[in-house]
Amino acid sequence: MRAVSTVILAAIAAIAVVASVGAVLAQAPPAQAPPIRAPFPAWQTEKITDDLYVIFGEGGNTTALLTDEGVVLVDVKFARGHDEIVNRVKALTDKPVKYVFNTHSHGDHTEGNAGFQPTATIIAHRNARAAMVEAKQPGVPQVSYTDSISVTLGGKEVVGRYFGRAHTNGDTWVYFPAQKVLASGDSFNNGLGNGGTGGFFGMFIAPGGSIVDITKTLDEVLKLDFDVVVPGHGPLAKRAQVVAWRAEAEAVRNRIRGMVRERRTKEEVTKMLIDEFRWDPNGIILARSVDSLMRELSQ
Amino acid sequence: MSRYLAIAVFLLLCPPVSAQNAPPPPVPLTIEAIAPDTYVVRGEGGNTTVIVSDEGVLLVDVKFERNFNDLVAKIKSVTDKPVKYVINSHSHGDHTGGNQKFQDASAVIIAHKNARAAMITGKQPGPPQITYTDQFGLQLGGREVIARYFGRAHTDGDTWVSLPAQRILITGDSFNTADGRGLNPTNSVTYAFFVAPGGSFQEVTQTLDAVLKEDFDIAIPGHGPVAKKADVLRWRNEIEKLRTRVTSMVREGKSTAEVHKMLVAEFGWDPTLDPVRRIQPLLDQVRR
Repeated sequence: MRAVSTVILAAIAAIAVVASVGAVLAQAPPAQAPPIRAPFPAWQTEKITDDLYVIFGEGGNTTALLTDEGVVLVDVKFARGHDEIVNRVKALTDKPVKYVFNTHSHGDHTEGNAGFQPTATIIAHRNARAAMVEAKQPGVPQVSYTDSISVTLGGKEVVGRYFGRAHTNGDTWVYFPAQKVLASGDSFNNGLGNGGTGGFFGMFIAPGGSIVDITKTLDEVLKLDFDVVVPGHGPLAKRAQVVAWRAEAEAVRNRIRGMVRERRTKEEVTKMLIDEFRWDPNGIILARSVDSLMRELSQ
Repeated sequence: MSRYLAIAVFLLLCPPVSAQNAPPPPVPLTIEAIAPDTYVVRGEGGNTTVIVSDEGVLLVDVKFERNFNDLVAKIKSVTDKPVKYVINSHSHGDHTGGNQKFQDASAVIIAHKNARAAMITGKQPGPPQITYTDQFGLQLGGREVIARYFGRAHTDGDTWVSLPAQRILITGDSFNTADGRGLNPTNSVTYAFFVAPGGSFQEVTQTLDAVLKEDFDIAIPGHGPVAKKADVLRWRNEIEKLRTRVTSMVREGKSTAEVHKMLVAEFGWDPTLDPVRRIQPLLDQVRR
């Protein structure tokens, strides 16, 4: 299948750049962990509506809203992707990028900030900004918010909402009301590899995030009126996939919590996630999050 | 008598150009340093706070449109950096009239969601590009401001801007020091406490209680000279006293004329400035 071969090609291409997957990999595992290859997709621009596009490529997905007065971007990948993003936006419009939303702090979504910052206003949740300051990341956002923020440009509105902890403690859900499109960040990924919550970019509870709170957060998200989702990673998705993702988050949580209460080992929990939830045995999520999931669910 | 009030309301709520009368020439502005790289521009309209950084200038409130050139000249007298951001403390034209011109010069305007909605309803020029609901932070060239909504007060979209490093709070019109008539909020001068549409005489004290939990020394009011935190506390207590007194009089069935007399006798309000009308929202609320 084309999608699979694309993933394999991208995986090969990504080997050289794995070291800088950014804050996601900041918490490096012990040396015996297998090398992790990020299966980023090939660069590609896809139309969602007449004025809304998604740019796939190395890093998290980039969403671009076009208006008569300028462009609003959501997430801007790695610094090395800046020129490619700029060229792809230029192929759609001659208007400048005026605003950039960061869905969260991680480098595969925010490293590109610095390149846009001289002329654009970067916006993130207060906790995401604080994480970027803490990690001394470049291109720290000028504007941060706590609850809700809205940008109007060329008569079009983009709304950033914080609904509580999920992937991190500073996840912005960027909503395009007129287009009924939601850019979710990594709190909803359309998992590559095996798919579902278990793919390479599956359901990852990073530092600050919460497997306990993510379902409450998703319940709030699902109150928004949207049809199409631009996931943090992976191809475009539909609302029903977010509903399914929420259900699976709850199932994963309940299963791990039960095993933690039975004092089962990390190895047993890991095996369960692979067997029952199809989590990628070589994926970043299994490597990074089993300890923290078990820790949170033992409280 | 009510002509003075009409002018005051006109200044507060209306765009500057009148069809019948030639507009008066703008009053010359003055700029005053409050803290390092932090200035207040006064003279006409609401106070403008100027926050200067290496990467550009941030303004809080931008007066009437007719003050634009003078305001820009005053800013240029202290920095050659461009104005990057403007925060509107609320929707009224004496604080937002310059929005459109600063937008044309590439500035980004930020206000509370309800303030923007009021500006759209009022068909005011230059509605803000960015709105928030609860709190936002803005960082520019090492300067930091935190802006918060604490609930209804002067309007239902009042933004309180703090400069944590300088221990300064910029209040908008929910705290005014009047025009040279002292700090008495219940003195019926032009810019005493005024509940505009959307504001609340009932909720203003709760809002001010939340504000007073903030850590600041200096209060830059919506109108009038720069004040201290203790002045904000006094203002809050005066408003509560006034509200309590008026509420009990209305509940005792006292007439509007008696309330008028009380305001003049006990709170020193100017009888020629139609004091009862200034508290009309409170009267309406109590009588409801």
